[in-house]
Amino acid sequence: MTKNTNSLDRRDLLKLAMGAAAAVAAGAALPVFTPVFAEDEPRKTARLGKVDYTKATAIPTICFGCTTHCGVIGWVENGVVRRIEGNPLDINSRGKICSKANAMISYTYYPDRLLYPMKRVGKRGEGKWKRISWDAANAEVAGRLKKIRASGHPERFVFHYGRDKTKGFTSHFCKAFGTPNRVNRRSICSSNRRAPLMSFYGRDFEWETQDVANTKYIVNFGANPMEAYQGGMFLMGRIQDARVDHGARMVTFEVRPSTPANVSDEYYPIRPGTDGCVAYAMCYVILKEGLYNPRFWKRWVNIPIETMRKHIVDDEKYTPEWAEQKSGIPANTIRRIAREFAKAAPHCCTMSNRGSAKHYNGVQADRGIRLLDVLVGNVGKPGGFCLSSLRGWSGKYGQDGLPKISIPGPKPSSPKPFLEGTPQFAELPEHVKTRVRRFPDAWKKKYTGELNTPSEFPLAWHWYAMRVGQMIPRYIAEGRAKVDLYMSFTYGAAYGYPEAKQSREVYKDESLIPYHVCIDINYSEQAKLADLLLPDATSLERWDAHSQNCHELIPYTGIRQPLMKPLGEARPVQLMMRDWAHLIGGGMEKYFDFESSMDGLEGLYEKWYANISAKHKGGWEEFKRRGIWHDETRAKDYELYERPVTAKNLEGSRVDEKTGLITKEIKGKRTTVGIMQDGKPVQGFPTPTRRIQVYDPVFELAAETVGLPKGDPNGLALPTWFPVPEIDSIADDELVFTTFKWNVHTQGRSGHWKHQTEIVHANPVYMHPSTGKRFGLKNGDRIEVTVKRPKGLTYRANEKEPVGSFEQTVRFLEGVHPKVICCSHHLGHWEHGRMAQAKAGPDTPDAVSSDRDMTDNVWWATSQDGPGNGVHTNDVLPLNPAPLVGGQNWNDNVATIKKLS
Amino acid sequence: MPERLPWEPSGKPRAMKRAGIVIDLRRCIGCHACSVSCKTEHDVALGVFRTRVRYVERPGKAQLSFLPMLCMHCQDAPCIPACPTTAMSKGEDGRVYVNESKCDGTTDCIAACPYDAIQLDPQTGIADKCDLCQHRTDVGMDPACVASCPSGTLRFGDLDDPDDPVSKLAQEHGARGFREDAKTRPTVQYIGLRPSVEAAVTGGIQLHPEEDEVIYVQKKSD
Amino acid sequence: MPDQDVGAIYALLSRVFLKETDAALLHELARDEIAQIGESLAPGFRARIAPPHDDEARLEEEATEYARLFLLPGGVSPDAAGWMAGEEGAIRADLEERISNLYEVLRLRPADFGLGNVPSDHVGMLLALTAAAYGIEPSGDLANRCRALLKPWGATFGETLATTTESPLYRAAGRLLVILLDDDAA
Repeated sequence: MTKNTNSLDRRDLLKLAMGAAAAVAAGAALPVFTPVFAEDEPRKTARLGKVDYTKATAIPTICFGCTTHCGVIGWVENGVVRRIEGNPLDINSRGKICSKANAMISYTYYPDRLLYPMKRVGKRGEGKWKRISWDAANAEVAGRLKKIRASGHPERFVFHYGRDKTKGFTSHFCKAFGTPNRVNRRSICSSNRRAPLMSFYGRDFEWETQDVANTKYIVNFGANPMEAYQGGMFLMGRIQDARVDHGARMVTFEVRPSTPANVSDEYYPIRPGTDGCVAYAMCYVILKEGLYNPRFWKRWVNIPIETMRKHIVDDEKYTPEWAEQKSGIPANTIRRIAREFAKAAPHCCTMSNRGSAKHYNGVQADRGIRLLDVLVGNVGKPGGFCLSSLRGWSGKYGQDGLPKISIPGPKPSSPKPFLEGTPQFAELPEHVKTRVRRFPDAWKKKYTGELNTPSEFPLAWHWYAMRVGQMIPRYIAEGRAKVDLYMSFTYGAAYGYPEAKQSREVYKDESLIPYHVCIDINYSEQAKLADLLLPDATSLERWDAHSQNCHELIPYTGIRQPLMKPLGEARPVQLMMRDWAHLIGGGMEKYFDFESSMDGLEGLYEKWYANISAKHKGGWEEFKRRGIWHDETRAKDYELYERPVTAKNLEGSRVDEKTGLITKEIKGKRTTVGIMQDGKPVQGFPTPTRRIQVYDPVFELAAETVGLPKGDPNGLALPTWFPVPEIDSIADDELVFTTFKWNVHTQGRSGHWKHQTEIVHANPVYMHPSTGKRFGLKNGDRIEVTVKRPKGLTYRANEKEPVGSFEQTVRFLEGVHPKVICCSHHLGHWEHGRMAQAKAGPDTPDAVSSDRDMTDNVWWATSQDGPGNGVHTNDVLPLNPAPLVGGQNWNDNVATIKKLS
Repeated sequence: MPERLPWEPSGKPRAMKRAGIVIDLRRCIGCHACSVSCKTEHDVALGVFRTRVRYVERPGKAQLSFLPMLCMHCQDAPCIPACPTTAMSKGEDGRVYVNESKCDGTTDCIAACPYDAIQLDPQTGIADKCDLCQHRTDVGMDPACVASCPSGTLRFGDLDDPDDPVSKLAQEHGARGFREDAKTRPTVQYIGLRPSVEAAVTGGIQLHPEEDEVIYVQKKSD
Repeated sequence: MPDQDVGAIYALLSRVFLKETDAALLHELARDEIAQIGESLAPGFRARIAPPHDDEARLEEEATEYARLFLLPGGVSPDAAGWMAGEEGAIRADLEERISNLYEVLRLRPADFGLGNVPSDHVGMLLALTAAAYGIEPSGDLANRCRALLKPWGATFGETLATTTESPLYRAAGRLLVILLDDDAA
């Protein structure tokens, strides 16, 4: 150690440390204080202490563990969030949570969380970063955005979100900016099953609300409301009550023992892509045996029942025997279920989701499933297939009497369409221009480019913009859209998309994506390919508006409010955007008139919720204390379509004698407000005919515009079943490879949630023991799975070269369909920090952490002789958008397997 | 004075003769809200489970059964006499808990328990098991697992009080303990427990997740 | 060894960890005594801290290494005591109280350091506390209470840093931390 003291002055160095001239308390009196730790009891202090609930603070907020968003209570002690429980005032979730709510704590305090703005050093994708200040980061982003906005091509700013629950804030920003390209990933989730809803009912109602609390019979085609489903927890609790306490029955068709399959009274493993066969055959039985509700059909459907009977029964196309041959479900079982379903009407309902719909034929399959509810007339009835008033606050249907909740201040107008003559239109590739020119006027007026409104998939945006997210990197690579700045927001295409490798190549390519900003809470696979990383506040640190489709059939709202200050330099995206708007200027700032602080943000939400605060004696403070509000006097949303047209809408309206449609001029536009039924004006459904559009010519229109071959079943106006070509012609030595979701995980963002990943960190390939036997496999053998390209009218169809292969271990499971092999999604991360990669344990080189679990207790790490963190399979799953709608056909993959020695 | 909101604890414990949990397997969806809420509530280490949820396969059956398991708070708990330091204790309401200041990690309790309900915390070396969330019940709250259970499977009550609705539920549905042949008189009672599910849980009644045949744990070797 | 010196060393080390290297820090590190210590702990140190100190390219390299080590997953992150468990057992449950007591006694606040939202148990902050403690009470009792917050985990952190980093500057810092926390070292 040094002996010469003169050149080193502690005080100066401490000043250096403080970066300021602040004086250290030198020469202060020696303080007297008592040590507060007990040196003789070190072992006991290794863990967090028990919460004292009489002293801790309870703050209501909204969970962010999946897409259901239950109301929760967070318990905070000494500024640390210690516990999450359900909020009993939430009439939807009724005070219940699942395991994932707890993860809000582990992902907020995750030692490897992204906490600072970072700028790329070296080449994109190299993984080298340096920290920069928020001021520098904002200057970079706003500087670039300002140029783009001034360039006359604001659409070259693309904002791509994976999970955005700001409920209107980011779209406010994008509209104020002027870009139409606020795009999403609905198509890799649910667009195929939403399209049939929107076709029948005019809206998807976010989505249907089966009144399962009062149902007697549920037929479930591949939906999983007990593990992975929007509104799952709301449905699940009510289903279990109905089944256990009121004798309701549930039948599930699935390919693997999902939780609904396991708890159902009857579970039938079904050949993939044939759920529709069973549904159409059930329609056949119901029609043939006269088990439908003729009054409901006559009153509310846009075609006569005779047309339906001719289509489904007369040609004997959809007999139960036919369905048995296609699906493997015995014909008499189908008959019995159809009869039981119809007998229980109106207290019966169907359910469906990815299992039925994420197929090449999924849209038409789901139309057949939805047809069942219409036939028996359970729509909108207690115990039936209900449609609630569109989350209460984001639409107009059945809205009467609800207090207005919307972002305060002026509202920017929507971006203008890319009409012929605009510079945006001029830039389109010729083949796109040709297609757009064929559009009917209504579509031309909506068309805003290939990313937001892909011309090849008009039904992805005809009702509202669901888009075809998985094709966006492809489209950019093909020059269908020009990008200047790409902003990924909680978005993980680099990991989560089909053929994710292709996406990674596009995001890495600076000629295609000149600048890439990634906003997230973690250093994700997507973040690795960015130029600028911006740390978002987690759900425990932020404000958001909230409402969900309510299974109590009463609209409600809630507020997500911070339980703690954001850690590190994390900032909620709302503050980022507010700052950019002010830096960009040019009028943008007037849409973000609040202070750039958490207090300023609270002020915004206080205004946003002013009408709800007014419902509380204690105003905003009381609403915050309770977290959730609903109108206790409001009637349930049964039979919304029978509600009378409001007096306001009747005023100045007129009736078309032929159709019975009631129209009135609203803001210079002739708008339909209802329909006459038996001489009374009622709301009807928000479709053009105000009836349920079982026959929907928009499918024909779309097919013709896009150039599908004439008569292609994707484009038929009546619900019609057709096979998935590659499954229909599957060879004996081929299997269908399905990926699925677990209850403890969510999407592609939960790999680092320690308690969840502890439970599920491996994703073996599950198969029926007989399948194993056929291929000469034993439990635990290693196989190589090779996935082929699809057939049908989709991306790179029929190419001989397989998409790719992966290796995994086999695990027999009796509940798997013999023609199916499946493994889960969520796993195999190569970023998202050490917990997601199972890279931890005492002997690993980077074993330093503030969380003992990170360093010592990851028992499944390979360094501890555990199985590791699973396999990522998305690279080998083909891009496969269904025609017209564009939903990703995740469940169509035909594969071969090979035993590895 | 603002009204008391439903989550605010009363501050006072319920007087109970025999505190216990009734598990209604007809409702269980295997979601792990219970096991994970417990881990968060008590900062339980990875690798240690006070509560586990088993996915049980039965031969020839396509459907799996869900089986939450935890300390049974046995009336004749063998862990208590097995403990050499008298750290394992029984509370006034019958619950079995670890007196941490007395535990020196001898693992005799672990060997004695037929339900494999006890493990050692890897960092402190102290026995770790369910205490029915004493710190919560002391102030009138339910155990964390019960409070979290979204399907109404787990319910907390006084199993010696005939008027307690949870006790009544257990009576009405013929609830019983898991593997009562272990003769420890478990307090935790199961509704809808199938003998075939009991029989399928092999090699000890409750296994450590590493060795389990739980379907979502994949062994690296064989 | 006069405590004044030790306090100064703590202060310098504190600065190394609290934020990225800048020209001012390089200037301090380039003092003969420091450079000597540094070179003995990590060959290549002298070259690393040699002038010109405002060389943009080198500062960016150092900033990139800082981010890799302390701010991104896969490095030696995080650099905060938090809930660390060490050989003597952990200091978790009452850590908050102990730390805030010491800040109060030493009349310092993390906010004084003008570094934004730096955790109060950041390794750099605990080193700064120790440095300040030496200043108030040269006998070292107060400083030892601060060192006690670092001891259970600081040596592991320092060792891991020294083996993980490619920069002689941070290697020397890691090894120096190990020495400072070793009661038997001179």
